[in-house]
Amino acid sequence: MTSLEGLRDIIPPDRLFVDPAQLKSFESDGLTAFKATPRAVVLPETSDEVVAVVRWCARERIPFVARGSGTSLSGGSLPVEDGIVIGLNRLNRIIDLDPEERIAVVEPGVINAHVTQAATPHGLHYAPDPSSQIICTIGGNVAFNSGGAHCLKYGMTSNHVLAIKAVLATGEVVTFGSRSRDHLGPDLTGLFCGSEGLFGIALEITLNLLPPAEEFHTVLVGYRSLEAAGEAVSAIIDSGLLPGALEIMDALAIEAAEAAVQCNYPPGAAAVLIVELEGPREKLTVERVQLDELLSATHAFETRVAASAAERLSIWRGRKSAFSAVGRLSPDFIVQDGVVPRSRLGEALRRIQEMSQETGIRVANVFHAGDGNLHPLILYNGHENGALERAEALAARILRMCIEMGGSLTGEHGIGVEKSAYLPDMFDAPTITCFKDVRHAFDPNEISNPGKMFPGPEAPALQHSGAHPLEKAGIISRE
Amino acid sequence: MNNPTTESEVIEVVRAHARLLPVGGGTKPQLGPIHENTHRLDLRRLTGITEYQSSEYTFTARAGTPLQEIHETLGGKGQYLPFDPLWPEAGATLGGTVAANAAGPGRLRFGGLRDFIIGVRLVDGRGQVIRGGGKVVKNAAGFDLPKLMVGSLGRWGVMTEICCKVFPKPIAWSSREWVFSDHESALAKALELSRSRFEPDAIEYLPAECRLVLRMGGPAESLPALNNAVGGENGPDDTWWRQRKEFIWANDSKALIRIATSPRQVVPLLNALAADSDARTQVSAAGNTVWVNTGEVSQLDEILGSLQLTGLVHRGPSTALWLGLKSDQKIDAALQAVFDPEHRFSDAG
Repeated sequence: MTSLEGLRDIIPPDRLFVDPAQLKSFESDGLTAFKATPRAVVLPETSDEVVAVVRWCARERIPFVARGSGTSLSGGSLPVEDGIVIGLNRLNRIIDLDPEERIAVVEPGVINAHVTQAATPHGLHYAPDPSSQIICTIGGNVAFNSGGAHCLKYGMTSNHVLAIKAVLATGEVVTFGSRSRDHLGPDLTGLFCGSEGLFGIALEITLNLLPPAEEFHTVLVGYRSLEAAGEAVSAIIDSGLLPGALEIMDALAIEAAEAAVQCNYPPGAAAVLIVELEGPREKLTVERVQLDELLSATHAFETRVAASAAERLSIWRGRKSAFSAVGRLSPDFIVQDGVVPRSRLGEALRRIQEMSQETGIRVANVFHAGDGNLHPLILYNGHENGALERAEALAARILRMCIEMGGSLTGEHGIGVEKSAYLPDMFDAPTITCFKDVRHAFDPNEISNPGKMFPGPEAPALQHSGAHPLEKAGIISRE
Repeated sequence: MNNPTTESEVIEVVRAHARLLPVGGGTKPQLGPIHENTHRLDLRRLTGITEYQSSEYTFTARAGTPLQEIHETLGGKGQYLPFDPLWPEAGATLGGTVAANAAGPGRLRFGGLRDFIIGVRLVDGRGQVIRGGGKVVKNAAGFDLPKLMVGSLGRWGVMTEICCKVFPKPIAWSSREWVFSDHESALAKALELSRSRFEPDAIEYLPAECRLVLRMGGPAESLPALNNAVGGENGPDDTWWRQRKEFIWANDSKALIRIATSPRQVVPLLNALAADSDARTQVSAAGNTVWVNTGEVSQLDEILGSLQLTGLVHRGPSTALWLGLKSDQKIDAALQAVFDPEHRFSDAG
């Protein structure tokens, strides 16, 4: 085994962990069903230190995994057994915030919500809002092209990244993109986003900021069936309105949210729909009437319009709590984020219900209805023999259904370790070979986050289940 | 089989030629083949919208499909291409638009090609079909090859089919305009408007007249109130906006160059260009793109170099394709080895 001597020259002992007790808290990320023990964890404080560590790893051919807050739901920051974990939380400086050009340049360890906090006094915000935004970092968002509730209108993380300075797995430092929203030449910034850490580590990320919407019109609608809620979504989409958010929760998810936060959703609803329009008040004045008329023509049994900012937050509270709330219904659950064409949402949900009845495994559904992004929560008890395996088998059937319907394995969590075995269900052999060749162009020795995205022997086996400590503490949720 | 009508014919043509480059409508001729021994792979017969369900906000079309056909089909369902592609009336195709990253004034509101392309089929330099992305609006699976195609100038292979996200088209449009005494105050106003509550769809600047033009879309009933709130004078009509994408202001006997700028780089560039009395300029997307139409290409090359800016010649006579600061990424060569190991498409960029 290579000694860590070279590494000790780069990172002082108080930021280089090798003690098993210290390594323990880095064994897993948001996907707690997997764990692996790294050889060492380093906590660099400057990008020069990150570059030096990567160059050391490249020289010694030791695999490394970059990690932010470890909220990945696909096992994206799972350590490589005996590799190095590079914890980036201390690279948390907002290097530049330029309100005139609407740009923020940040280090990878900056927390997502901190960008908006810093931009708010200037009348700006950072649009991508994954539900773990109060803890997840921009570096992780870039690596996994994180989503959130507003993707239909605003796109994903990559749509808000203008430039990336990165150290590639070879140790070379590169810059892709610029502060211009235009770009000449191939979009390497776009390719880097969502590369799941397989190319290298982003050191500086240039983000596009937007003025927040001036006003919101938020409506909560109760339906007696999931189909009726689905039909309402179709009516909204066909009307020419472009809502900022369109979310549906089913009965089991509502039950959980009620128990957790007493959100007081319409009692007896088989599904609730949350629709939010946003924009300048002059446009909303017209569009809200259009939406309200349209909703009254659906089979809604109760419609509530938020009359104040407080009522809007109260509507959203139930939705935002849904994932952690489901944790109260069951000791363990698996969440996935497959995507189906929006017009087949109703069919997908019916089939998930059938699979749930057939297997006797409870499934709660919360989803981004506007973009067809499902979030089935598959409930199980990890202490029950074989329960995890049965839940995994159901999850696999749901994923394959998404592909069969012309959708995607993942809308926002990424492939990671969790779904790597399914990649060949979505992409044919020449395409996967191409992906691997692209990875080798950036990382010829496969040392940057190996074991993610591609199926193969590198992926570790299931070892454990249970909620993430941060999830138990109510800080993050699996969405 | 010079003008393939199917993907398998494209594969045959690729395998049969040592050097080739795909071309569509030829609206950006400088981006096409330069060398005589490079085969022009004409994609104008590889056309047709293969899938379109308006309720999905997506469509899939073969690469040679003219933008006009897409506009008409989407328009029939009240939808549009928010990235506002260039030269639709001159015959630009979807594939050429992606390869050139040719977005127009409307890209200000929701983004450019990179923000709306979600899937691609590509015949690479080995004659293999690679399929990146997917057909749903939200997708985080695999590397984002569709984005890599944006601005690629055909160097990674021949795109045969492209899937894009679309949006509902605003019911009505209105324009406002302001005339300033200098570029500084005009650009300052452009930036103020681009971070205002009004969500402008386009902000264009005409330096010769110091004239700033803004466009907003929305429900017709909302526009009078919005016009009042935004201020300025009544701006140009829809025809003006259409013609803007056709570059009727440019002299075709001179080169037309696109420069990617950050808004703050615009005024120094305009000032430096004042030395070239012959140059015509237009500033797009609130200062993120500058178009220059000039016969003095080598002078512009020097200016851009000194300002650390890059320009790409789209039309008109020029021996150079790239001007100013040249990109020199080692990764480009490594990616070329992946997609085009035999350098079939090397006559691009």
